Amino acid sequence: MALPLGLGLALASGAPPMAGIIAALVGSIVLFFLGGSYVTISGPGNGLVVITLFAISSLGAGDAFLGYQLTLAAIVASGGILLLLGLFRFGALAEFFPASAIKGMLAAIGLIILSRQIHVLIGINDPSGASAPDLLTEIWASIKLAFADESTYPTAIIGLISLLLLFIIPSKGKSWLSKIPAPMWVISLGMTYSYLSTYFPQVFPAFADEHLLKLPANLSNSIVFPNFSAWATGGFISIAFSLAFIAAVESLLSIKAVDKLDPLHRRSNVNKDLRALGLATIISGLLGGLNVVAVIARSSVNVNNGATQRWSNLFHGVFLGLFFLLFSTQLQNIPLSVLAAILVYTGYKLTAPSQFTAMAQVGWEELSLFVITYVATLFTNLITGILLGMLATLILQMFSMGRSTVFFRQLLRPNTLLYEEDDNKYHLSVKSFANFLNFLRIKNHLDTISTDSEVIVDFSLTTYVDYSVLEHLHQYKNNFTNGGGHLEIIGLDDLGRSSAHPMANRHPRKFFEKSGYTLTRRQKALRLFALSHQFKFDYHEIDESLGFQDFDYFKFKPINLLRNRLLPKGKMDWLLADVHYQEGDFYGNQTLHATMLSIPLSKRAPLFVIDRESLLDKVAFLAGFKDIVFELHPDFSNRFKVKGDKALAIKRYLNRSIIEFLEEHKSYHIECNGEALLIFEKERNATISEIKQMVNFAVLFSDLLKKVHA
Amino acid sequence: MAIGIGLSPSLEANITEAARLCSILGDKLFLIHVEAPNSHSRKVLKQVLDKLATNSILAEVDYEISYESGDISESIIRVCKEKKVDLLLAGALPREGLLRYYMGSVARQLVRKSSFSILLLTNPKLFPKTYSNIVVTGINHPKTPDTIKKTIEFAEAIGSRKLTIVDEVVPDKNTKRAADDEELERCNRLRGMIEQKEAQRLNLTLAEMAGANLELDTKVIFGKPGYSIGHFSQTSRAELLVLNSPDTILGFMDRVFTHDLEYILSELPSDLLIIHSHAQ
Repeated sequence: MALPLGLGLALASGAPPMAGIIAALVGSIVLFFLGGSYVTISGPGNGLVVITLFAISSLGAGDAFLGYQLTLAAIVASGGILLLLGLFRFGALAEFFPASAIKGMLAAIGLIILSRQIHVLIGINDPSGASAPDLLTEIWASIKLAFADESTYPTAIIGLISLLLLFIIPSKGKSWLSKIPAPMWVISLGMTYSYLSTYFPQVFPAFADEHLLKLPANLSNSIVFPNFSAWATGGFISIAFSLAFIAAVESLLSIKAVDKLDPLHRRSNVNKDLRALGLATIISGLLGGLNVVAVIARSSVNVNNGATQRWSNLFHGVFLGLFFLLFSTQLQNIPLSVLAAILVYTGYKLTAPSQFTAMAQVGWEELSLFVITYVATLFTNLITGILLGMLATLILQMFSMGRSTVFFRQLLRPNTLLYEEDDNKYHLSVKSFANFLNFLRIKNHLDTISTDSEVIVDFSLTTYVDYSVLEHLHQYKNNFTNGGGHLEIIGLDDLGRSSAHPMANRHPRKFFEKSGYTLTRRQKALRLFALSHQFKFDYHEIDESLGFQDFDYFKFKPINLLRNRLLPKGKMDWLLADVHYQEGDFYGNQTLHATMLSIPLSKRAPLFVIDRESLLDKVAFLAGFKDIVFELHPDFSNRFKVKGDKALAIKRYLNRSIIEFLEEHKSYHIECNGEALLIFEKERNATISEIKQMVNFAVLFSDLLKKVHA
Repeated sequence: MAIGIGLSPSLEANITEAARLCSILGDKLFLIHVEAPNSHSRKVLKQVLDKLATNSILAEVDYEISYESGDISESIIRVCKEKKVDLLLAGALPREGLLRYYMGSVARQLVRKSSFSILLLTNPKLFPKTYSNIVVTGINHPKTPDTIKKTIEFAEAIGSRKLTIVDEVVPDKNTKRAADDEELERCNRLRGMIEQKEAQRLNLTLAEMAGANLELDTKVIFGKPGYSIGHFSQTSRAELLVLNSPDTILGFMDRVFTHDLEYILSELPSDLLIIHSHAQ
C-alpha cells in the first residue's frame, strides 16, 4: 500500500515520484531508532500535498525544477521546526485546536486533492485551474477534452474501473477480495493491462507515454538536492511553517488514532515521535524527499496484519526501498490514472458527505464551524482556514456561554483539581468551563494517572463543556478501558445540549429545552440498568421532595428538585434519585447534587444515623449526642459511628445480624427518621457502578430489617 | 474578637455568627461600624442590635460597639489594634466582579493590611451551625505547623468533626510529565515518594497534638498552590478553609498576576480563616 501511495502522493505534490519513496524509507529508519510510537507507519502524508504543490509552483515562479529545489529547503526547515516542537514538548498541539475546525480542514484537504486528481484520472494531466473551486468547475471541460482525444480512452477506462474497485472492495467485508488491500488490486490491474497492451495492442490499446509513470533511468544520479537561496523570503518562511504545522497536526492525530488500535495498548510518546519525525524530515529533505509524517491508513493496515513492534515500520520502509530499486523498470508500467484513482478515493474519504452528516449529528454549532473552516480553507489556505475556524469557534462559544468577561478571565486561571479519593481511585473536578483552549489542563492531569485506575471526571461545577473536550475524553475512556481501568464522566446531566449526540456541546440550560430533552450516557446506562432489573426509570425533574425532606439531613437544606428517579415497578417501595438541594442561605448558597436512596420501613424504628465519614454533624438534631458504643461489637464501633437520642432502643434495634450485615458491606450514610431510611454514599452524584451497589445494598438491608423486626 | 459591620442584607446573620463564636470561645465582642458622613446607618444599626439583643444569642455575649468615620479598612484596623483584637470577622462576597477584583473590596483590604487573624464570612446563618468539616493548609512553610496547631485548637473549641489537611505540592518537571508509559511510571513513583515524605512531615507536626474528638485526614494534591486547596474545599463541601497569613502585603500586581491567596480571595469557596501565625 505504501508504494502506490508514496508514488501517488509525490506526483500529486508535483514532485518526482521518487520523493515519496525517499520520505517513507528515511522515515521508517529514523523512527525505528528514535520514534516514540509502536505500530505507526511513517511516510509522505496527504495533508501536505496541497502545500507542497503550492510551494513548488509559487517558489519556482514557473520553473518546476527550481521550485522543487527551493521547496526541499523549506521541507528541511519545516523538519527543524518539528524537531523544536518535539524538544519543547508541543505534542499536545493538535488538542489545542477545536476538533470541528481540524475536521473541517482535513475535509477541505480531501476535496483539494480530489479536485486535481480527478482530471488526471481521465487522462488530463495538467488542468489549468489553481484552486479547488476552479478545478471542480473545470471537470466538465476536462471530460469533453478527454472525449475528443482518443489516446486518453484506455487511461480513463482503467482509472474509472480502479476507482470503482476501490469503492467496492472495502465494502465486501471478509470476502477473498478484501484479503489484499484495494490499492494492490488496482495497481495489478493497471500493470496487467500495460503488459497485455504490449502483446495484444489490437485488443488493448496501449497507454500514451504521458499517461504512464516515469522514473529516471539512473536512480542515484537523479537525486535532487535542496537549494537554500530563498530562505530569507517571506514566502519561504510561511511555507516552512505551514508544512511544519500540517505535518505536526496530521502526525499527532494519526498517532493518537493508531494508539487506539495498538493490540498491546501502549501509549506513544508523541513528543519523542515529533522529534524523530523532524529529524527524518530534515534528512528526507536533504536527499530530495518529501515531509515525513505519521499516517493513519497505512498504520491501520499494519496493525490489521498483526504488527506489534516498531520493526514493522522499519521493514515497511526497507522493503519499499528494495522493491523500488529492483523493479523500477516494471513500475514504469503503472498508469498514472490508477495512482490518481487511489488519491481520488483517499480525498473522497476525507471529504465524503458522511463527514458532514456526522458533524450535523453532533449539533448545528459544530456543523457550522466545520463548514466555515471547510469553505475558508478552500478559498484561502490551510493555515488561514484553521485560524478562521478557531476564531468562529471562540465567538460562538462566548455567545452560548453568555458571559464573555467571565470567559476571558477564567481562561487564564486554573480550573482543574485532581486528587486520589481512595486507593487507585481518582477524582478530577473541573470548574467554570472546559473547551479546546483549556483542555490541556485536563489532559495533563489525566496523563499522570495510570490506565488501570478508576477516574471520575466531574463536570458538575462547569457551565459549559465543548465538543472537543468530550471527544478527547472519549479517547481517554478507551485508553482506560484498554488498560483495565475505568473513566466515567459525571455532572453533565444538568447542562443543556444542542443535540442527542453523546458528545454534543453542553451549555447552560435554557428554559425551552425542557421538552426536547435527550439523555446523557449516564442516564442511558441508568435506564438500561432499570430495564434489566424491572425497575422504573424517570429522568424528568420534579420539584417535589417525595419524602426526602422529612430526613433531618435536609432540615436546613431546601430541596430544589429530584431528577433521574429509579424506583421499583408497582407499589412505591424505595426511591433513588439525584437530589438537588440548597446549602446555606442569602447570597452565599450553593446548589449540591447527590444521589440518594430512600426506603420506607414496615415498622416504626428509633431515630439514628450510622456513618463512617463525618457527615454526621450535618444532621442538626444530632449535635451534642455521643457515639453509641456497641460493647459486643468493638470492630463495628471502631469503623462506624452511630448516633441517636435513645441509645438503648437503637442498640436493641441494631441487633447482631444487622451489625454483621453492615460490617460485611460497603459503608454508607444511613439515616433513619422512624418511618424510612435515607441511604447515600457521598455528597455528589453517584456513578453507575456506585448506584448499582447502592440499590443492591438497600434492597438487601431492608429485607433484613423486615425479617429481623417482623 | 471584633467584627466589622455595615448595612448589608446579611448584617443580622453576620452579627449572629460572631456572637455565636464569641459565646463558644468565651470572648468579648467588639462591633465596629464605620459611618459615612450624614448617614442614618447608626439608627438602623441600633434597631437591629436591639432586636438581636432580645431574641438571639447576642444576649449572652458581652459586646461593645464603636462608631468610626473615615477610611473603612484603616479605621477597623486601628480599632482592632487599640483593643488588642486577635480575630476579626468580616462579611465578604463569595465572588467578586471584575472591577471589584482589581479595586479591592473592604474584606480584601483588611486581609492585605492586617496583622491579626481574619475570618471572612461568606455564608452567615441565623440558625446555629458548626464548622463540622474544615480544610486547612499543610504546605511546606515555616508558618504551617503553627497554623495547623491553632486550627486544631479552634476546631476542638467549636466542636468540629473533621479536619482535612491539604498539602499542595507544585509538581516539577519529573512529577508533571507523563508522555509515555515510562515517564508515567517514573512520575507516579516520584509522586509516591513525595507523598510519603510530606505525610511524614505532617505527622511530625500532628504528633504534638492529639486531636481527641477530631477525625484528621491528610491529602497531598499536586497542583497550583493556592488554587487547588480552594477547589478542594469546594468539592469536599468544607464549611471553613484555613490558610496561612500572606508573607508580604499583597498589592495591585498580585491581582494582575494572580497567585496563591488571590485565587481564593477572588472566589471564596467557603468561609475563610486566615491565621496570623508565627514562623517556626
